[in-house]
Amino acid sequence: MKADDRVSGFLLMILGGATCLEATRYRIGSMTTPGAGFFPLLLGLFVVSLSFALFMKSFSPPKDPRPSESLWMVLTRKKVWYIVLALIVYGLLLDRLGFLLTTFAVFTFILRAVEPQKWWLCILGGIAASVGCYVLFYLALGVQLPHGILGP
Amino acid sequence: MVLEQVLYGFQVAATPANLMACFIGVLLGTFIGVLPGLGPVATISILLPITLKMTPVAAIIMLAGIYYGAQYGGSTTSILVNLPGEATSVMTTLDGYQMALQGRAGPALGIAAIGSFIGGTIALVGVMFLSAPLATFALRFGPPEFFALIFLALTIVTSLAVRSTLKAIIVAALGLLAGVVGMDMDTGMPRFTMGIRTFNDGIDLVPVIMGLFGVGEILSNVDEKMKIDLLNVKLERIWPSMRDWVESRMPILRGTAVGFFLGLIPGGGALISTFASYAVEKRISRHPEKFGHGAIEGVAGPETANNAGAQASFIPLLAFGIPSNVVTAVMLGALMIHGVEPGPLLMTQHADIFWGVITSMYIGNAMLVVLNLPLVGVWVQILKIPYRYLFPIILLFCMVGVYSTNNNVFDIFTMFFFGIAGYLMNKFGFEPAPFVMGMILSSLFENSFRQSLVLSDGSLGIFFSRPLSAVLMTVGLLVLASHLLTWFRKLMATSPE
Repeated sequence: MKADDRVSGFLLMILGGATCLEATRYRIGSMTTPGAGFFPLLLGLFVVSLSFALFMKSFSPPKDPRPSESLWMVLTRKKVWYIVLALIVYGLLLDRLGFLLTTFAVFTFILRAVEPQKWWLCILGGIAASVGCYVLFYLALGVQLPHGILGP
Repeated sequence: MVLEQVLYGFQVAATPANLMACFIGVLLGTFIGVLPGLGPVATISILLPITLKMTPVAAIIMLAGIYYGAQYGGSTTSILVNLPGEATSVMTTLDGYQMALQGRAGPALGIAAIGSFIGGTIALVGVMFLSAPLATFALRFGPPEFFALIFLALTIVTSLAVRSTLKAIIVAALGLLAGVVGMDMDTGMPRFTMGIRTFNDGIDLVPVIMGLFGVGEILSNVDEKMKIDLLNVKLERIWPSMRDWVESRMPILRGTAVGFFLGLIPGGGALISTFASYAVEKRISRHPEKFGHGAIEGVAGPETANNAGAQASFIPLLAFGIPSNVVTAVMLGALMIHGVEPGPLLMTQHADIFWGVITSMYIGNAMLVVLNLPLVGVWVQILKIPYRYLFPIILLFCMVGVYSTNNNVFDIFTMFFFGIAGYLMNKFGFEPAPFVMGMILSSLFENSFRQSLVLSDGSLGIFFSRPLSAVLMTVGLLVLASHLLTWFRKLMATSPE
C-alpha cells in the first residue's frame, strides 16, 4: 500500500492545489464577510495538508511487509476495461440508436466479453434484457426512453 | 399525543400502495442481504430513480425497508457460508458458522431473525418517543449549532472508517468540495463547474452514488473470484430450544440497548453496534472460551444490535435532517430528490412521511420474520446464483436508472466517472462512504459556517460561546485530537533511531 499511498497522496495534493487556485477566482472575502471562494479555499488547503501527510507517511517503514498489488496490475485487468468500454459506448449511442438497440448491443457485449458465454446465450440475454427493461421502465414505470432510429 | 400520531402513521402505512412498497422493500432487502457483494447502499441508489414515480412516503418506506431488511438477510449468508452477506453480519460468521458446522444452523438462523425482530421493534419505540422531542429541540438550532453538529458527524464517521482514518478524512473533504460545485447560495454565481453547464445546479447526487457504490463495486467484484461454499445442512428445526432461549435472552436485550444508543450517535448505526455487542457478550460471559466455537450468544447479541442500530439511526435523520451514516445519507438524498426539505420541521410539515415511515417499520419487521423464518430455505437457493449472471443485470439497472432520472445522457458519464473513482478509491484503500456524507452535507455546512461568521463579526468564538455548539465542537475536536495523538505516537515508534 505504501507505494500506492505515495501516488495517491501526490495526486491529491495536486487536486487540492488546483482547488485553491480555482477558489481564488471567486471573491474570498474576509472572516467577517466570507465570499464564495472562502470555504473552498479552506477545504483546498485542508486537502493539500492532509494529502501531504499521507505522502510523507508513505516513506515511513511499512508495518506489514506483505507486498501489495501494484497499481499497474490494475491497468491490465481486461474485465474492468470491458465494463468501462460498455459504459462509454452506452452513453454515446443511447440517444442516437435508441434504447432497445443500444441496450441489446451493450448487454450482449458484456455477456460475451466479461465472463464469456455461448453466443446464442448472449444474444438471447441481450434481447431479454432490452425488452425486459423496456417493459419495466417505459411501459410500467412511464420513464421516457429514447426511441432513436427505431421510433418516430 | 404520541398514540394518536402512531394511529395516524398506521393509517398511512397500511394503504395498499404503501404496504406494497414496504413489502417490496423488505423483500429486496433480504435478497441483497443474502447476496454477498451487493449492499444496501448500492441497492438503494440503484432504485432511487425508480422511486421518482412513487409518492415520497412510499419511496422512503421502500428504501428504509431495504436497509433493515438487509440486516435480516445478511445473517443467513454468514451462518451458512462463513461469508458476511452484509458488512454488519461480520461478527455473526464467528459463532454462527460454527453452530452450523455443529448441525445447529437452524437455531442460529432462528435466533438471528428473532433477535433482529425484538431489537428492531424495541428500538422503534425509542425512535417514536425520542424523535419528536429532539426535533422540537432542534428547532432552536442556529447556524453555529448546525455547523457543530455536522462537524461532529463528519469527524465520527471518518474515525469509524474500517481502513485508514486519514484517508477517510481526505475523502470527506473531497465530498464537501464536490458539494461546493454549483450555484453559490449567497451570490448566485456558479462555482467550480469546470465550464460544464449541467453542473450549474450542482453535481447530481444519483449518478455519484450509483457510480461509487453501484459501478465501483461491480468493477471491484468482477476482478475478484468470489467463491461460495454453501454448507450442505438440513434445516429441520429452526425454532430455538428452551436452552437456546435462556442463553440468548439477555444478549438480545443487551444487544438492543447497545444497538439503539450506538445508532443514535452521528456516525454510528448498524455496523459498529455489532462489534460492540459481540465484545460486551464475550466480556461478561461466564464461559468466554466458547465464543468463536458456536456460542449462541455471539449470534443473538450482534444480530439484534445491528437491527436496533439500523432503526435508531433514523432518529438523527428524521429529527435533525443530519444523516448519521451513508445509508441514511442516501435516504436524505432521496428525500431531497422528492422535494422534501429534511430537518426539524419534517415531522410537522410532512407528518405523513415521518409517522408513516416509522410505523411501516413495525409492519416491515413483522413481514421480515415471516420472510426469514419459514422461508429461509428459499433464500439459501439465492446463494447459488453466480455473480457472473448478477452483475450484468445490476450494471444495466444502473445505466437505465441513472438515465431515467433526468433523461440526460450526461448523467451516464457522471456515473461512469464516479464508478472509476470508486474503483480506484477501493484499490488505493479509500472508502467512498465519507465522500457521500460530505457531499450531501456540504451546502448546509458551508452556509451555516458563513452565516455564523457573519453573526459573530468574523469571530470563530461563536462556535464555543453557545453551550450546545460548544459541547458538540469540543467532542469533535477531541475525537480529532485523539487521532493526532495516535499518529504522533506511531510516528515516534516507527521513526528511525
